[in-house]
Amino acid sequence: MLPIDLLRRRNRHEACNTPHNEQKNASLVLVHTVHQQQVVASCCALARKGGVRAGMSLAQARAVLRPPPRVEPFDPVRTSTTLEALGMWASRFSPRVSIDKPDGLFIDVTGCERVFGGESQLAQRVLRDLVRLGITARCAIAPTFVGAWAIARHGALRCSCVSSQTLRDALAPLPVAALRLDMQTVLGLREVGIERIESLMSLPRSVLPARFGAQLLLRLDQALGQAIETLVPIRPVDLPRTVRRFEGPTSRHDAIEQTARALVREITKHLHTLECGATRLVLTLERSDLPPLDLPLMLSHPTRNEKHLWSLLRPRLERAHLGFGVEAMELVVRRWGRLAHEQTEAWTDREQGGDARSHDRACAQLVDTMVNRLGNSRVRQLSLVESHRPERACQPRPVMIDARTRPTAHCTPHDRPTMLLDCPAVANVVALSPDGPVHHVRRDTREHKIIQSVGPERIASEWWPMRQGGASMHHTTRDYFKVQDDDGRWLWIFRVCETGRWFMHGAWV
Amino acid sequence: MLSSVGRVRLESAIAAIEGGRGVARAAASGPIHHLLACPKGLRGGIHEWFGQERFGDPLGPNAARARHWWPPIGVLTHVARRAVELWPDRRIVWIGGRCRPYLGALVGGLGVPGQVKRDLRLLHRSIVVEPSDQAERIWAIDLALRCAGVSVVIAEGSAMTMAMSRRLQLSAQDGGTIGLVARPPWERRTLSAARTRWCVSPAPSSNVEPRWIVELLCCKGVQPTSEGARQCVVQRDHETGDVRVDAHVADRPAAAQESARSLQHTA
Repeated sequence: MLPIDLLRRRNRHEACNTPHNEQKNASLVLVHTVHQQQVVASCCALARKGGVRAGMSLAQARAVLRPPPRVEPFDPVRTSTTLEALGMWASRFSPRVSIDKPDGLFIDVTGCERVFGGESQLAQRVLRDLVRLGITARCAIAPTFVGAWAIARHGALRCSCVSSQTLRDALAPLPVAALRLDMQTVLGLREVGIERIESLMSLPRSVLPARFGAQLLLRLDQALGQAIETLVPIRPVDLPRTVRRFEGPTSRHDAIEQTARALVREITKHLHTLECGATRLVLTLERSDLPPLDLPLMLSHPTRNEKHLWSLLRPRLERAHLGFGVEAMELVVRRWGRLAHEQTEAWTDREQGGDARSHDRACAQLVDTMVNRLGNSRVRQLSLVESHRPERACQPRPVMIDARTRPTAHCTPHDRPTMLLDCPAVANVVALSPDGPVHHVRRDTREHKIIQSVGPERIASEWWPMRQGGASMHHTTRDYFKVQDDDGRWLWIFRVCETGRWFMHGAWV
Repeated sequence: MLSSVGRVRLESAIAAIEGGRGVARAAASGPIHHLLACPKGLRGGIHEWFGQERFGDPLGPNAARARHWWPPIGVLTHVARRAVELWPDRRIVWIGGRCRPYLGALVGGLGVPGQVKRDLRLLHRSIVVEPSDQAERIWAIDLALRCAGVSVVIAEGSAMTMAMSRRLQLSAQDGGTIGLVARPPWERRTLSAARTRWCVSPAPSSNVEPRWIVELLCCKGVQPTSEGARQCVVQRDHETGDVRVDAHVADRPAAAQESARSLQHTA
């Protein structure tokens, strides 16, 4: 269910994805391709109720579901990354958290339940916090990990707590698949009529390994607490950070600036020992009368240049609202990247003025400075998008200084103007016939005769539904003409086929 | 008073009558040739380029003058492309909402039938900056001109005062970069500290490729030359997206006759 929840979180603004509508209308199925066949990777509760299971082909899922399900691609990388992030998040309940792929977490709460008022309160709180994050979950607390896994995934209740006295009784009615056995062993047990754990426990132990392997008994013993199960806990990454506390709240800018400068110096030294550079830093000001103020810095290239970092941080610090005073300051490196080892050079090529790496570094500093003042949306790089729509074919994206990461979209093979208007402008065009060539264009009070015309090039909207498009202008069919007026200007004008109106969209200038 | 378009037409007609003299002779050599061949000489200074008024505005003439004009992106892109070839490690920075190029300028080889490989170097080396007001724009141009990782800064320079242009000129000298500042056509009489000033206006073409008249208005520290040598008709190359001196205007038979005639006189 985790991939489904992530998709719902992403598309929360869409009305069709709300649980109410989903229950009422279409179900949701995530698919991935296995041996050139689309296979269900995950599905929502409604689809599961309809008989869809993971591993089923999409054609089968479409056959059993009415109305037909909404199909989306499964993103395993995103799911895995989110699970790791959830594991870090769950470390607030216990210091020992392990990831159970593809969609589970083991939390060793031994000794931690007292902090939360008992096991049942702890389980309730975990579920409540996950619901707040938009994630549907089931939770079980048991003396063994295999037992908790079995009760959480195959038990009747969404949240249950089992003690060591009731563990055997709680496991007894569950299917044998709840012991985390492989599919072959489960099918083999089903062939001889053993479908529940109680049936398995009633069999003599000596006959089981010979027929079903040693894993079956090991799992059973682990579930009952008679064998040890080891987990690999997540190791929380120790972020590079430096902290300074004042004796009392201070609102003196010179003291705060000096302290911030010292923090930057310390963090760059720390980064130097790690042989890496920061790509995201956060300076936190703990104010006496106000909530803590975070001043984040996003960098386009890993850097540990003290002067550069301070030049970015200083204007942010000057604009910060200090309240009645700052009690402490903390500088944390949230993200960092490796920096290649650099040798000190005595001479540089004067003609070239440095090598490619130094140019990249200088350019990264320029981009960082501009982004810091103008904002991320105003400093961009242009990239190609595989679309026939002229306004979508060239889209801005964040600047990536690393030259290895380049987009590889195919470019349109047709001639395109050197400049494009953000919004097509209405043009006064006279054509000889409704679908015929352009005769002249009116400008102000004058009429300009068209002496050359190339076209039409018909461009229609994509047939699939556009999510972002709201205006009707983006869903029309257009006939584009490259025309030259009697002054020599080459313009790119188009006629909307549905309405017959003319617009100017670009020019060769 | 003839307009620039009319003057070129007249000179072309006279050249045709006289057997290929006039503009053809002027086009054979001059600052425009040097500019199109290698932009190294433009380093360490800002160069102003006056564009053309935008066509087809439904608004009135005054409103159109206040807001709408086209920068000469075709010629500026050519200089940027040459700079990418000369300094492949450095970036091209486009500053200003009007100086935002489209595919025809950034990608070479569009519209050539059968050609699959496109020249995407300029697209990959370009950074587009869109400041919200003039103060931010001048600050961004100044910063980019001083950056060692930038080879060319192409910026919108409308309503730029003498002090601002002086500041940018000093920044370009300091950084050793090329600053190409596009300005609206009605600011030709504004004082400026730019090293050169150019005007680009459209010219009628017989084929489907755009032609422009490039005119050198002012060049500091250089003796004034004849009017013919200061202007030239250039044409966009269909296959590469570059700009070259129009072969039709600078026709080679006429130039050959001219050179042969001069050789006879020498003999």
